[in-house]
This record gives sequence, C-alpha cells and structure tokens, in this order.
Amino acid sequence: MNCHRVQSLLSAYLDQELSPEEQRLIRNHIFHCPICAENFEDLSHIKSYLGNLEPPFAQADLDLLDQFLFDHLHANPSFSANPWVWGKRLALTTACVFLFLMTAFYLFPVEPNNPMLLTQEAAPFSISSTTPYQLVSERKTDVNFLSADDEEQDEKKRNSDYSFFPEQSRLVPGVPVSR
Amino acid sequence: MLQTETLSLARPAPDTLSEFEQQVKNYEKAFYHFAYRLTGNHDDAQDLTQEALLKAYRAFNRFKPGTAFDRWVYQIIYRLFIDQYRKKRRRPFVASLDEAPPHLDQEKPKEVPDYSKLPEDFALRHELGVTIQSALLRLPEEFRAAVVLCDVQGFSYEEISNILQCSLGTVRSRIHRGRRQLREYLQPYLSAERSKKQ
Repeated sequence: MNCHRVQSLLSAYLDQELSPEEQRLIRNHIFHCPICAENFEDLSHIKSYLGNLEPPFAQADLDLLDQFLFDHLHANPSFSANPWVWGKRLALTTACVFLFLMTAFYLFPVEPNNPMLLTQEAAPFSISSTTPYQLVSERKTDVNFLSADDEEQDEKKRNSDYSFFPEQSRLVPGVPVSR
Repeated sequence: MLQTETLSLARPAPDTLSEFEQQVKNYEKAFYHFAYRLTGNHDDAQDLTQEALLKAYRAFNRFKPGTAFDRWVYQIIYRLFIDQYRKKRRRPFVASLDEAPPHLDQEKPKEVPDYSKLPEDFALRHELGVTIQSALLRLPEEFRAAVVLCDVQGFSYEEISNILQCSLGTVRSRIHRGRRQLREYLQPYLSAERSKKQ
C-alpha cells in the first residue's frame, strides 16, 4: 500500500470503518511512514476536538425552546390539519378556472349573429361551382351512368374517390373550405 | 366485552402528542447541538430546530415506531438546513435602512456553562471552540453535516448514509475531505499540539 492510498483511507481507519485486513495494512504502514503517522495524528486530534466540543447552549435557552414548542402544540392540537389551507387552495383554483372560462368566452363568442362568425361563414358561400364538393358529386354521377352494372369497378371508383375527397355531405357553418 | 374491544380498536392512535413529547425530550439537546454546528449561531439553530420539530410533529403519523426517532429528525433537520441554505444563496441578504437597529440593552447576556474552574483553561477551550466552529462553517454544507454527524454526534458511517440519504462511499469521501479541509484551517493548533508532544 502506498502513501496516497493510505491517506485516502486514514479517515475511515480512524473511525474503524475498514475491514480487518485493511486495518492491518494501514497500521503497518503508519508504523513505518512518519508522514502518514503525522497525518493520522492530526486527524485524530481533529476528531477529538470535535468530539469534545461543548454543547452550545445554556439550560435557559433550551427551556425557552421547549416552552415555545409545546405551548404551540398544546394550545393548538389541530395544527396538523389546518382547514384554511385547503380552503385557500380551493378558492384559488376556482378563481383560475373562472378566469379561464371568461377569457375563452370573450375570445370565442358563441352567438350566431356575431360579426366575427359572420365573416368566417361568408367564405364558403362566395365560392361558385368550382368547389371540390360539387366536383365529387359530378364525377360520382358520371361513374354511375357509364358503368352502372359493373359493381366491382364501381366500388373501386368509390373507394378511390373517397380517398381523394373524404365524404362531407353538408357544409358545416363556420368551417372554412380549403380550395 | 366485545363492544369495548371494538371501541378501543376504533379509537384513533393513543395520545401521539405525549409520545412525541417524550421522544423530543430525550433527544432535543442533540438536535439543538447538531443544528448549532450546522448553522453556527444560536438564533438560526433555534429556528431550525423548532421548524424541524414542527415538521416532525406534523408527519409523526408517518413515523414507523420500530425505527430510530433521532435519525429521522436528523434527516429532517439536514434537509431543512440544505433547503434554507439554497434559498439564502439564491436570494442575497436584504437589510432595511428604515428599520431601527436592535437595541443592545434588550439582549440577554449569554450564559456559558462553567466546565472548568481555571479561567485560563476556560478561555483556551472557549477560543478553540470558536475557532473550530468557524472552521466548520467554512466547509461546504454536505461535508459539514457529515463531519458533525460522525465526530460530534458519533454516528457510524452506515447511520450517516441513512440520515443524509447517500451511499456509504459518499459518506466516507465527504468525511475524509471535510477533515482534510479542517486540518488545513486548524493547522496552527495542530502544530502547537505537535510541539507540545515533543
């Protein structure tokens, strides 16, 4: 064992937290190495300094602490379950939800004759016969007319149509149509 | 007969307050000592102890009766201390200029227990105590807590690792590095000790 390794273990050796084998090795090393021995002595001095530190208070201080704490607890035994804390939390949550709803109603009004909604609805009605929905219906009728007996083909066509133009039979008011 | 048994079962836990009080009575000196060594002054130590005991009282129903009460409270004290320390570091100290300075004549004189009759001895020990405390305060918080728990309170490494909620290796390295730093800070005393021996 070299000095470096021993010095890293000296503290644990001092506290007797090493295995017997390690303890033996370190004891041998300290016996032969004056530098490590001095280190060990310093560390044990520090340990004894700390161990001999006087308790930091006078009795009066402690009584004060005691008095305060138990007066506190005895006077108010329901200290642990303070209902007002939950009341406050509940009130705060309600206020937040209320504020959120008010903001939402203000920004997105639901009245049908609101000017904000009317401008959005104006868009689909202004489009003439070139909307994709009308195209769909035209093509569908064509297909039906040309190959009414061929059911298989018809179904294929319908499927392909469906993949191109998803079925939306009615225009939903308020939803703009993409062109 | 049956009814009384069920009644006694239905009753809430036997007076937890007195039980808690008894436990605290046993250990309060040690708690206060630990808090004092961590914070370095009486006021902070008192605040820390009180707050930790309040926390402990509120959570006393979660305390498992078989386990050690003092370790549990040490853990609370340590966590509170680290929390407060971090808060303090985040928010620098603010002093009000309008507030009047505390009046000195209202302060109580600090009483120190008389351990030795010799005034010289007393002065030396007192001085060493102050020096050690200031050296402790210069250590990083984790090292300070580990060293205090080990050397002042006399816990084993395993118990310390339980209290500080870290591994044994961490405890070992914290104590080692803490002591090495203390050795640097206390070098004059240590060299005096050495020369005394020779």
